[in-house]
Amino acid sequence: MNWLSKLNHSPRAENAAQKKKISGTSETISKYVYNDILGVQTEIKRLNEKTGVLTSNGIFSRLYTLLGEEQAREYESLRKKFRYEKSKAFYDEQLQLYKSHLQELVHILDMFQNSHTSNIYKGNQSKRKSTSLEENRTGSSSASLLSKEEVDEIINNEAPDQLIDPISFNLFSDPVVTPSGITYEKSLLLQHMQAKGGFDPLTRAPIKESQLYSNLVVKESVLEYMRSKEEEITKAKA
Amino acid sequence: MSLKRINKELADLGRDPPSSCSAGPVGDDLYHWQASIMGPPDSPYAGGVFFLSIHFPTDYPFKPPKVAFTTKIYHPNINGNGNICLDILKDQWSPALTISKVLLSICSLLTDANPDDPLVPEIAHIYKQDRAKYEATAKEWTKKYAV
Repeated sequence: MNWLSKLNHSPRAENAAQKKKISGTSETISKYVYNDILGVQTEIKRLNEKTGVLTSNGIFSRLYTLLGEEQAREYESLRKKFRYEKSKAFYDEQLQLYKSHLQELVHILDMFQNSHTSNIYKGNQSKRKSTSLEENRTGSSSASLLSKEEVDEIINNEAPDQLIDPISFNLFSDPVVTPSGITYEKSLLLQHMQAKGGFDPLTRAPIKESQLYSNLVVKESVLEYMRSKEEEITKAKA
Repeated sequence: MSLKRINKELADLGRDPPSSCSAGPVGDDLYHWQASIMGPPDSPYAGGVFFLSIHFPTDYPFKPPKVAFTTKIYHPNINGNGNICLDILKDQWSPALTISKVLLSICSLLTDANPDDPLVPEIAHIYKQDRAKYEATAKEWTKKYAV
């Protein structure tokens, strides 16, 4: 039985381990089981002394108290059932009751132990979270945790297509529109025209430098997009 | 600028991969990619997977990438070294073209060869004179080298 292993480090472990070998009347076995119950209770008390799992957790403390009261009530009604006479039948039923009480206690000890370890884990996590938050805060006070290049890269990578130059795939900074109605980054379009000749890279229609006009709407949209994106990134970090 | 643009193309390929093609860097060198094209179903190359190597020039996208088949293929516009005779890879290159568009063009070249501007005149001749023989040989090569 798995709860036996839980008791191995308790002072009553010897009794528990011997349990399998014990034979005899329900009366004698009951004594051993009761000893084990006391052992688990001691274990819970010790756990609480060490970790404060009950003291710090109201619902656990209440649960443990209620379990104790309920077990006492069950025992009392058993005694009542046999009119406080200690017959063999009484001892038989007492043994069954003790066994189920022991089982319950072992389960609750298990629960307290696990909750305690998960609390340690959670505590570490929240500690870690708070330090990283602090790092963020100190970071953002001196601008941001991300470098300027990284912010620029995010802004550039998440830009809508219509704000992206079809030659460099970067955000426009000085967009010009061709007679075909396509917008390019001016310096790159001129570089293309010098290298390959006067044609629109997408439509291949012939173009001359004198036919290019600044696309002010696109330029304004890029600035607006960059402003709002930068704000979004800063907000996300705060 | 070329590296930034190549990186962007790679990201776009990952986000919205073209059907029947794939492409990506061979190792750490972003200027050297490998691509694969599945033989178009309505062509004698159906069922084959053809590999290509792509080399980007440092002044990409003002100069076209060098694209060549590494899988042997029987086609009037592709020679024994894997070189491809395709206008957009030469004088008709435009900086607004991308690897994705180039691979799609190569796909359509597999479906519709251009025997009037051949790289391998013998294959072009057979293509024009005896289409069934061309298709049979192309199928045979596909089975032999690309399956």
